[in-house]
Amino acid sequence: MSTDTSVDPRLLEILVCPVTKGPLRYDRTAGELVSEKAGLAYPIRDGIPIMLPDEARKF
Amino acid sequence: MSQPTIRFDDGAVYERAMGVWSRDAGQTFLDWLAPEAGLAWVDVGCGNGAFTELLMERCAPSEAQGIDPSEGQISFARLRAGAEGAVFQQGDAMALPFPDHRFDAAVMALVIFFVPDPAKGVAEMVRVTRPGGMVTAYAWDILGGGFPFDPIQREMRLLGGFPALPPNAAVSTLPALHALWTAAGLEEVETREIIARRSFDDFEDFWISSTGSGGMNPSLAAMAPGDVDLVKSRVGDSLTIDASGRIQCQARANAVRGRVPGSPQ
Repeated sequence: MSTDTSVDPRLLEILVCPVTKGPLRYDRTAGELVSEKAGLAYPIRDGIPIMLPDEARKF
Repeated sequence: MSQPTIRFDDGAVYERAMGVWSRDAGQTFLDWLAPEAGLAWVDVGCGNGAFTELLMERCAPSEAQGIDPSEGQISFARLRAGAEGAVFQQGDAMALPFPDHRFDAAVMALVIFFVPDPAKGVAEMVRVTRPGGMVTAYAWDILGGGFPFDPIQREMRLLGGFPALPPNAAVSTLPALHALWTAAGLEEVETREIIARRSFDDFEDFWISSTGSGGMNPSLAAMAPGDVDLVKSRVGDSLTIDASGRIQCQARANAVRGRVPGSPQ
């Protein structure tokens, strides 16, 4: 069963940060894909990564 | 007066309004591209997955990634039985979340006029496509009257209405598409016209199908009720009805294809 923040492993292999085109780290606990270089965390909702810079959490 | 903007948030309503049109145009588009099987595709601005489904049905892709900014459309796409095997997520055509040269083919199906900066969108497709790969699009010829809802929009304009248009309607003419593709550094750029056909049970079917979506509804709602009735009756008079009483409609899209420079790896 998929939980709200689980994500298709095939996606994790290929996704990059849309801003820096650099790698993303999957934070399973927070349900986010983290771009350290951009200082952005992209949320995962209902298993769908939201790869929109405008909707990412800044840190 | 500001124009209403177009939003597609509901995949099911969009399907009835535009999905059928999209599918018919998409078939002709794929006939023209005649892509080989087993390619890795990215469907940029995939919406509710209408074209992604066609890719899965016809092109036996090794991989199909669909990306669209609308959560509602992506949710619908993910449940589409015919698109099983494709992967969908929310993202921006001007900032694709994919590495360079990742795909064999990139496509924008009926979407380039919605991209705020179309040249940036094309540049992103070029970036994520491998050397020798294919960058393609097709889009309604809005300025040339090819949009499926043009019969309604024409009458609205005559009555002083403001039918919503995509922000970059001018980009979908044949010369504009050719120029965009060439400016993006693509080679062997070719364009062509696509005629899409659709029939409706009767006028009510045509009207409800065409006006239910986020494309037409806000613009009509902004008109006086009497004017809407007038639009409705004039559109009814202008449509082609066949011997069996069905309404036959036609729309026109323009398509473009180009190859990313460099030899395939």
